[in-house]
Amino acid sequence: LSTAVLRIANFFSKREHMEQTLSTLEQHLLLAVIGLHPNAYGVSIQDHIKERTGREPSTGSIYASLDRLEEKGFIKSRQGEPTAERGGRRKIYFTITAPGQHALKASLQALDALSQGLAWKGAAI
Amino acid sequence: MNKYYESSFTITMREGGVIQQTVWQDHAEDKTFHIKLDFDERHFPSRQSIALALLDLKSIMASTYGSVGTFDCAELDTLIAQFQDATNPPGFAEFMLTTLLKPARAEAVVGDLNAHFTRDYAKFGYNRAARFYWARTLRSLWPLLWRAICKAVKWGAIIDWVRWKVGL
Repeated sequence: LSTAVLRIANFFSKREHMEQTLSTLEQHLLLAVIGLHPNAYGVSIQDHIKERTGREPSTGSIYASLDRLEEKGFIKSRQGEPTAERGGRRKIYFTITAPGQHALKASLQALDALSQGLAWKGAAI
Repeated sequence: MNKYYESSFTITMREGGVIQQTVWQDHAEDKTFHIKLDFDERHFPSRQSIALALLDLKSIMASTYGSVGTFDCAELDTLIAQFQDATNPPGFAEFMLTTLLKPARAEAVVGDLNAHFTRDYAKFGYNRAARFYWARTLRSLWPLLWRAICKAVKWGAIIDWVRWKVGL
């Protein structure tokens, strides 16, 4: 019985850890949401990421990731106004939450810790 | 600058609000009729309203200038078609997006694609903008479809586990 309890506890702690980790796109999205506050919506986020990284994620992948981040409680959304250039469709604005900031900070610190003191040997850049 | 000819029409929309149309020519030899549509952002006109307003304008212009043969309605037809295309994403793409997403999210995604289209249309013209629109839509479908599959599989696994536990 104790082994089973341990396994269940292990499963849930692993799952919790997985939910706290962020993919590269999720990191980019959270950084863009902070940078564009309070004007972070689909197109502005996409433009911001393209401008800073040179890569343009698709509208679908942005919304799929934003959906996942909202489910984790890292961001929240509110409906915006319809505009002429959008064919009368409403925007959705995103803002980061405290758990979101915490997860992003932890994720960036982990990257920093891994890259600190690297000599960049072994391959010519 | 004094305009050779200027006229304004007001069209009342079914959904409320009005579209103000202004038509002008810069000088007597000017073969182009410039058209400006103004509308209240709070009562955003649907594409049908814009098309109807333009059709209305077309009949007014045709009755005014048709007899002297100085006004060609063909350009207005193109304009109407472009207005309809410009605010109307391909039906199948919109259907896919609304199936895969919650209504509010689908509205935002279609709105974003429209915003890109409007920008591309101003830069490259209709044909290239339409091609880009399709490319963007197709690129967007896979991540959304994958997410929907993952959700379905996850809920399927949970339901199976509960059934197995309860013995159904």
